[in-house]
Amino acid sequence: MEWASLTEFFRMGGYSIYVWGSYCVSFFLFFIELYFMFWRFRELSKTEGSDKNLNGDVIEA
Amino acid sequence: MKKIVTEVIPLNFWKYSTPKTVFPIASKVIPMAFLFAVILCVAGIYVGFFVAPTDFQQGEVYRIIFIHVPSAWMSMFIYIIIVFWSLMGLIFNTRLSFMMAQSLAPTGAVMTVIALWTGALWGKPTWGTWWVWDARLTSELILLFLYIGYIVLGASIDDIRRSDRTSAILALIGAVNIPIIYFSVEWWSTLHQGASISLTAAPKMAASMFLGLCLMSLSFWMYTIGAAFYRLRIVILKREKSSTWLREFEGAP
Repeated sequence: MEWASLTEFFRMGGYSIYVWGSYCVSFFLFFIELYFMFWRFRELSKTEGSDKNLNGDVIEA
Repeated sequence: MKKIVTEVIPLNFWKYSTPKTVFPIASKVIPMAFLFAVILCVAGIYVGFFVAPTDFQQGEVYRIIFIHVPSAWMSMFIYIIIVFWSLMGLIFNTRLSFMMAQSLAPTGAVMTVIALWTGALWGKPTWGTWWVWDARLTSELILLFLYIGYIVLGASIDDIRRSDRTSAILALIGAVNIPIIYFSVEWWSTLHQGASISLTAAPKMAASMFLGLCLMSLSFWMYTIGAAFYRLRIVILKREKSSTWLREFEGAP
């Protein structure tokens, strides 16, 4: 194990803002991309006239 | 007397070039790809933060590498795949090829933004600056503009066939930027370091660092496959809304 304590881990040797700034923003961007994709797919499969999308999930009105 | 019939079954590669056959395949691939992406990412972060040692020169800040390098690789790989599908579409006139290319572009743009962002956060503590107009950084920024241009151009032309072909040609022209990005660190003197990993030599880093990097790269590959197929379904839905196969696939309401 590289870290003496949890605080040490979050401090990242004084580079916490750079390291965590990289990871948080990157995962946030992936999340945004996925969110818009899922939302778009739901919208498109909803207008097909069925109450189910193509995954077979029921979409609430 | 029994007649022996030797039947030759032609292998039809074109079968997999229509939206109808690919849509259900995509639906099966997507959950698997995302599942592997998550597993590999967790493993990669574990190795990257808890197994890989502190860098003797840079300290802990080097741990940005596990996200910076895979995203930078993917930003280039995805563009190469877009060029491949654009070329296929232009040569064989297969509409699915253009759809594949378009499905990849937003993920490529996201990867490029991540590479630039993490690069800036890595540059500040190590070079003392967020940004320099040097060859590697500038060509990567041009790649982002190419992705944006490709997406916007495709969306701005109403006629689908014209839109497909025009954006494909833009992708082909922009392909010249990829070797420039890759070799920029050799061709020009730049702040950015040269490649630490090459196909011909052993990686210039600790084995655990290299393992973390591999796991994160595979995770990003899986994410890209999942996202691209997911977006492919959106593109197919949008374009083939009126076709009968889609309604049959969905099942009558």
